[in-house]
Amino acid sequence: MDVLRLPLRGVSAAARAVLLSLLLAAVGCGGEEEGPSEEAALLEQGRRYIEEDDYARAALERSLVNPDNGYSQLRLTSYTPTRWGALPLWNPPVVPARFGEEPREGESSPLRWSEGPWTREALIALGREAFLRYPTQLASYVEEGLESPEAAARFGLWESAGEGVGGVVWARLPDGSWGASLSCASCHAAVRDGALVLGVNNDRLRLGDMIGQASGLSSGPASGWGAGRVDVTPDGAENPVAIPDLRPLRFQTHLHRTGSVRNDPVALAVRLETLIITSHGEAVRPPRVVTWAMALFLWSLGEEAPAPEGEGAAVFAEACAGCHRPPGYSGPPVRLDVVGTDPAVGLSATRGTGGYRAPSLRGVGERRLLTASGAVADLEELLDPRREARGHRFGWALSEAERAALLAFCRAL
Amino acid sequence: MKHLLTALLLLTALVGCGDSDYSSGGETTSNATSSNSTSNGTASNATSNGTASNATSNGTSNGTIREPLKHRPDEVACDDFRSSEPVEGDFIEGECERHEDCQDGANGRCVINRDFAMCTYDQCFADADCGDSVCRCGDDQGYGPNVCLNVGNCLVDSDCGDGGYCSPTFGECGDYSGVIGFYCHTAEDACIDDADCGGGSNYCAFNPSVGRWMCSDSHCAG
Repeated sequence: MDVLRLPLRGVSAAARAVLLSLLLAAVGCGGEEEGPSEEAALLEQGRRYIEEDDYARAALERSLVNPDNGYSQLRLTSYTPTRWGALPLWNPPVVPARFGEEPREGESSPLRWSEGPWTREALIALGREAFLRYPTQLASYVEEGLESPEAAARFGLWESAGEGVGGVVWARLPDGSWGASLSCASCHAAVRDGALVLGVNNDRLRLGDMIGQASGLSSGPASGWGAGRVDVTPDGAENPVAIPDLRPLRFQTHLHRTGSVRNDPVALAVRLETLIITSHGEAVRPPRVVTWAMALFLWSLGEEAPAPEGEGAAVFAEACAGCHRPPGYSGPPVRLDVVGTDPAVGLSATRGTGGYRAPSLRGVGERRLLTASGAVADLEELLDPRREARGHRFGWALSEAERAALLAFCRAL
Repeated sequence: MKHLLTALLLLTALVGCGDSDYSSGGETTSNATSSNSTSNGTASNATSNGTASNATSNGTSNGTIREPLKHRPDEVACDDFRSSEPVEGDFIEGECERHEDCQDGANGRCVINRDFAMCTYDQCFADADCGDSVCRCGDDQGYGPNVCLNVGNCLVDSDCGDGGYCSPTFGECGDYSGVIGFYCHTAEDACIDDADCGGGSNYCAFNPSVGRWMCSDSHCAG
């Protein structure tokens, strides 16, 4: 405590308490590398999630912010040992897609892993492989983008010499045929500066256009989504959301644009598991070791960085920190009328919570498609009072100097 | 007093961390599911023994599949009718302004979707034009083109055996995808028609993950 005495001289006891609390929270919530005991506790959480249905169910229940929306109701009804727990496991042989190549049996394999107990490193490695290769959703329309490099570019499928095209895999189906499937990396990876970056939102991906093309149209009902956006809510409304950047996921207090899921590693694994189940029409389920591994992989993408200093820190504290709270610069849902952006998905009967989460600002300086609907191109536009996209007017009253300082601060997060 | 304050703050910090629940113990006793934990990665592919949580009908009666409302007893030849109505609406961009601008394929038409003008062409007029797949006819208004569907396991009912039925199915993104292929009904189906699925946004669709028809309200993953 001596370290704190000098800088806190003259500060009230209440203010000291707040500052110290923030410091402790920063240390305890990911501000340092995890020690052996923390890692052991994390691995034990995973073991219980994988082996104990009641433990996984409790994590689900604890994570749901609005138990009454459609997303929650479906899971509360179906995430039981006798319903979704009784579905057959889905881990088919897969082959990464390549231009002009038919999948070949000899080159396919399912995900493989050794018997537990697993180390964190082994799980993260499995999670990375699953992120790139696990067939998250069969999507015959994606074949439109596999016809040629030009088609892939038109639809925003990335190309990587080592990892194939767009994270698309051919999955062996029960009837012996091959089905084109999206993996997590289809939406949440992109080539930046010549290298494939996992976790980043694919802001060029035009899933809606591929769906339209498969219907014989150069544009179709889903083409209004545009690049980097997709409608993920089965609510009868057209309310696409921007594909999120998953790299700061460990700093998010909540998942989904609407913040309908409280975030922690086990809650994230349950969220991934149930996403895969619903994406396959509630017909199959993934092995839990795979979804736990994917959760740990995603958790590992968040890079620690010290809080930036300088004039921008004070501006941030005044203008932004009420919602984007350190150390993750994230926060729970903020009321739709307060945020003021397009409320479409926030009003969804499927995922609505009455608000939008405050996303983590870690890495926001290089993020594209901001706000839930992706209506704002980037950070600069967000803070520009002249922009056309509605809502999130925070920081608009700043002076030019303050705005510049705030931009510098945010870019350094 | 200082120590009390410190302890209080430590407690505050712990409560503020999402992981704290998991190290506190007191969870329900184990109910291990070995299929999740002991797989060596060669977990079985989907089989037909999965319990379809949304099944309301197996579509069978004494082993005979009920006739679906939508099925394809015979091949349907698509005509070349396309709307001759002029393009209407205030569009701000596009690849055409009139049908005559669309010359890169058969029966080109300039249509508008979401303020964007685009050309569409008929890919086929009969199944034979599509190789081994169905030629799906365009919509009644004449704007939607005839399209070769690239998935499915039947062209007509007779491909599904005696008393079999070949029906159209939506794709993975539900009605965003529209009809993507035709598949045979099977005795293991959980549904035959949309009406078997309890209404709402649910519909009956072929699920390729398990190779049979099931109720769905499928949507794009996310």
